[in-house]
Amino acid sequence: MVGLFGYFWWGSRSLAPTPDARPTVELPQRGGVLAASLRSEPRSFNRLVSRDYATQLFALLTQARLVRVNMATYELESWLAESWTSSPDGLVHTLTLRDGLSWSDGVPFSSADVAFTFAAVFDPRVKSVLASSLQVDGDPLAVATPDARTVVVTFPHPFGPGIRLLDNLTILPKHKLEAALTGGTMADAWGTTTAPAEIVGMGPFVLSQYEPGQRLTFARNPHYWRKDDRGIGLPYLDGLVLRIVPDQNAELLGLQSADLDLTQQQLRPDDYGTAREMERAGRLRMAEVGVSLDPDVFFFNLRPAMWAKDPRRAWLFTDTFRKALNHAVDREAYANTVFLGAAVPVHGPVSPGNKAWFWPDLPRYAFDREKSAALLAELGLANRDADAFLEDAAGNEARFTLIHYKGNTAIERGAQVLKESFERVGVAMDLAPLEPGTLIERMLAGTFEAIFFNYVATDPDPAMQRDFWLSSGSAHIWNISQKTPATEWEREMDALVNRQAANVDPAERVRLFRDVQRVFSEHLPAMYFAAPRLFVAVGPRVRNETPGVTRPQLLWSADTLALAAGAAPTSR
Amino acid sequence: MRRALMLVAVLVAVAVAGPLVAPYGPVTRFDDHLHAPPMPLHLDGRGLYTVPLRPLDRLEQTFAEDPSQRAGLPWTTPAATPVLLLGADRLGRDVLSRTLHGARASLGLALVATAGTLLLGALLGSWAGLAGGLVERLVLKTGDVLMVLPVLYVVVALRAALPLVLPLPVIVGVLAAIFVLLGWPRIARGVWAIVRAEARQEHVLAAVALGASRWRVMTRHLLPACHGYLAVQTALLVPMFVLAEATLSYVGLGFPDGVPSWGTALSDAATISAMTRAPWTLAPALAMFLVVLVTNVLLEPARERHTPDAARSG
Amino acid sequence: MSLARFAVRRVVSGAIFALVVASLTLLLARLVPGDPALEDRLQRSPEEVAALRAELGLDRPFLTQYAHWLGGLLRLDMGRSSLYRRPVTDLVGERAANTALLALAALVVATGIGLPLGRLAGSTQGSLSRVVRALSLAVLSVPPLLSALLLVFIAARTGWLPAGGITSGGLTGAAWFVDLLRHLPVPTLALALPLAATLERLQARAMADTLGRSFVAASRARGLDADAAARVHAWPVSLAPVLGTYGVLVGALFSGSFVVEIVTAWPGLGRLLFDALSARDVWLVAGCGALGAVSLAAGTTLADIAHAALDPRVLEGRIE
Repeated sequence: MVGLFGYFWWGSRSLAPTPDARPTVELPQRGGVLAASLRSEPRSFNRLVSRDYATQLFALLTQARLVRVNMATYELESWLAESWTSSPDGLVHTLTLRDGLSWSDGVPFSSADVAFTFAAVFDPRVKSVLASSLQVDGDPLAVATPDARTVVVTFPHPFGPGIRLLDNLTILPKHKLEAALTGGTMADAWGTTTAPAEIVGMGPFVLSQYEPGQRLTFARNPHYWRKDDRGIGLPYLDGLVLRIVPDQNAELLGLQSADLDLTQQQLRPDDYGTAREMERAGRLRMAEVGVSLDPDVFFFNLRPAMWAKDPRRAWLFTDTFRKALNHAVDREAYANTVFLGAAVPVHGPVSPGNKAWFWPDLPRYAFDREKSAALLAELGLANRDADAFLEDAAGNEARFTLIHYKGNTAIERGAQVLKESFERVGVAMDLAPLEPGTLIERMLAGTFEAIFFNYVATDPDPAMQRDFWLSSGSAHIWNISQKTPATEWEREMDALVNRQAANVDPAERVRLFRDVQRVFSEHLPAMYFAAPRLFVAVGPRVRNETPGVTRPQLLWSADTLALAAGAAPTSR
Repeated sequence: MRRALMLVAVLVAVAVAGPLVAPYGPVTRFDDHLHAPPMPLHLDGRGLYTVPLRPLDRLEQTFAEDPSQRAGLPWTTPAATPVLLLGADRLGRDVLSRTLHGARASLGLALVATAGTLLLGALLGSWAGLAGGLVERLVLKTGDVLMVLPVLYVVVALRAALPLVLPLPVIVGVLAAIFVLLGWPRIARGVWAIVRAEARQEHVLAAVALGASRWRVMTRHLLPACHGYLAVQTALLVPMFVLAEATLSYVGLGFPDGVPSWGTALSDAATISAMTRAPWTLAPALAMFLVVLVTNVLLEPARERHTPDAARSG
Repeated sequence: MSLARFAVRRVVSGAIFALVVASLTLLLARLVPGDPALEDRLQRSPEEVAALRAELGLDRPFLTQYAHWLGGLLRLDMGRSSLYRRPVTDLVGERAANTALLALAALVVATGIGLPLGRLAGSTQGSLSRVVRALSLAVLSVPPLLSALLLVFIAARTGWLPAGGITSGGLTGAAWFVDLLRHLPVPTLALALPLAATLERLQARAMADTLGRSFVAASRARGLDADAAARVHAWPVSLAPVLGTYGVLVGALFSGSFVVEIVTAWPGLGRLLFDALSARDVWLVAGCGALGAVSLAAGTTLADIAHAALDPRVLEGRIE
């Protein structure tokens, strides 16, 4: 019955063409309440102690930083600090705060709040999750406040990104939290049961209500300082609702029924078709935000201990084997199948979406099965029996197990395509889909052979991702937190990455990072195949969006989002 | 009873033959046909034929018939021109072939689990009925607890403790063991009731008086009394376990994604986009419906004499 | 045995049963490797993980955890959910209310459809009876998983009704209620249809049995026509065995609603349990298990007592 229903339904499907839903150019107006989805609950309203996505988004909406990285251009912009000067050695930065700013409860803002926030971050009782990101080579940044509008930040060592680092730092109100800090209860301050009136900030919105499991409701911050170029006070929106929805199906239905204006993040490739249909019906607009910064990553366990007693060690634990596999993948076909064509082939960890750091001339491994077969033969692998797979001289089959994320279509489909690609050159790969938590657990414990997953970097600047690049790093995924580099090339990469991070000359940094990428590509500790072009769906009444590639693609700039004038209020 | 055995025989036949008649392999992908719609059969003077599809827009997954071309049935057409009678799934695999291959995993598991459940249930039930006393209470009470224990926990706990990659027979074994563990009490209860009543009959009492061993009494006198009940239960258990597999795989705890089974296919089809734009991926649901329907039609009279718990099969 | 003694014995064994099942669920939840502290582990330092474990009470030996949990259970405190960062008791309470709403709606719908149809099919012999019977068999063959998928598909395809969720949110008062009513039919029908078919078959069978029994024949001999006999005598008598199965139906509702909630994104106990399991949220899993066990025990106990009150043969031990 189900099948027959579907058969006839599908047969009779037709879509009347509808007029293009794209808005004509109009200047953004004040007013309206926008509804967006959120797929997790905030753990805390205190950005200093929680780094989960909901808390970060909460901080973006209600709090402010001294400087801001524009997520559409990745340029550094003045924010609470209107200007700054840096010493020639790049160590001392003097920031001048905007005049006449005040917190959402009307209390004036001053450099004392900045000093307070630094003190809170580095207070060991707070155990702040931001502490490590505000250090250079293990030493904290120092801060001085000679007067109410001046903040002097001194770096312990030269650091390439400079005060870009301060984009991480949510400035907190001294007058509300000083007692908690001196009393040692800062770690528990601003939990999710805190009365909304207690949570003051300098962001465009203030929290007016949190109903667990349902929604977070925000109202305009009456004391917000930004104005648009026509002198209209921002934010344009009167308010914002973050609805907590269980999954992406619910998000799509929410968009369809106009209960939502925005979704938490980009569309899944398999929803493009549905979204296009809805777009033609005038239910939403799709916006392409650019190429993802974080292509899915495939890597082997490179801990020597893992392979010490493994009979496959002689070939599985070699650069040549990885090169052979890298040659066996047709990246064009991969992009077509996995991302339905909406992707660009990539050859290294830096995707073309990362415009500042992408290197188009990175050495590539062309799709070439013969080359791949030749490399495998070089390792002594040959087909010695009746099956389709190769064996080494001792009769061990060329076979390994890949664990990958479960419930992520692109990863699952990608794993299938890789499995088939490797099979074509005689290498067998068993697939084991795992819940993300279980997979990470195995990765940290080192109990895996190969992993295929997605790793989201926080910042496009490589100096901000040294966790990944350095052999001692906690996100050096193929061999985490090494005491000393396990290989010569990792030692070389460590040195290059450190020199790159400590350099303050942008051109020299780009050159050094190319060297890093070259070493990476020669030894292939991780392989990359395609980076998707990302699309977001927005409700038809949303105006003036400035999409970025990383989430929140639209809410990063919530103060300039607007709704069409005269649009019906949310919900039918 | 004869009907019940016939039904089981038919299901075994489907499980064996399904993969043999499938036009394509279970993991054969057609990269240009992701979510391609079913290709209807046409008939003209030269016989049955189909019209190949070509992709219009890869991203939107739209297709158009190519009227200049003509293909036969999938079994007779070269693999370069896929003929997808029931359409393709999100990885471009033939839904018809997946459903036929899935019959083996889904029905095979259900049949193995049914056999185990009957064996264990009959043994424990008749033991309880014969022994009485503490054994009887222990068996029945344990059964009560097991019957309501959420299947999910047991599966998660067992699955997580096992190696990542298991050969298919082992996965079938594990899942079957879980189904048996949770399914035997209901058989045991039925057998227990019959055995208890039967044990008071004269010919049994006579056999005991003549010194027959307990094993002999059980196998010669008591279990034969249960055969009608067991035959009907067999036919009821199979569809119940088919649905249990579907439910578990649907929530991602049954067969791993790569194994073609009706449950994994349904879990693939369970997004709003897949359901509205590619409803043909729900074909395994139709297969399951047919299995349950046939069972219900064949066994309706017998079922009414036994337990009223058909609704628990979800 | 008096009805009171029977009731007391039933309640006590129900309570023991609930305790055993709840304890087993906690044990199984702890057996599963991995715990919530490992979520987002990539971004957390070992100190943070240790602190989180201590906060969740997962660093203590199992028996201590178990004792602590049982103690909390008496005070209706089932720990904190690491997934939702809220007390398990609140969370489970809210979701149980949603499940109860769904189950109740389904039970009412199933009873409203099943019993009258069954009475009709059981007391007549014509083509009408055969149609009802065929329909029942067809519906009976669509278990909750399939009926839920089918209804969601129809809802999503046509846009007549919301395909998932419980409310759209942001509404109050009458608008909220109307919205809730719009979300109810899909999961309710998915759950109720197979149940209605079961009830119809049971009722038809019971009705046919009763009509054949002697005292109905006796009243017929006194000159009442067949229809009146069915209405006056057979219907209430035939109701008893049907009501007796409601205890079993509570179990069916539970396992059925688990699937339906997952498919239709209904925020009930089943969906909560599923999310908790995926996130390794130990205390939430145990809480769901405990509440499930208690409601199941309560449901079957109540049904047994009601059955006993309606049919005295149960008290005499003649019917199990």
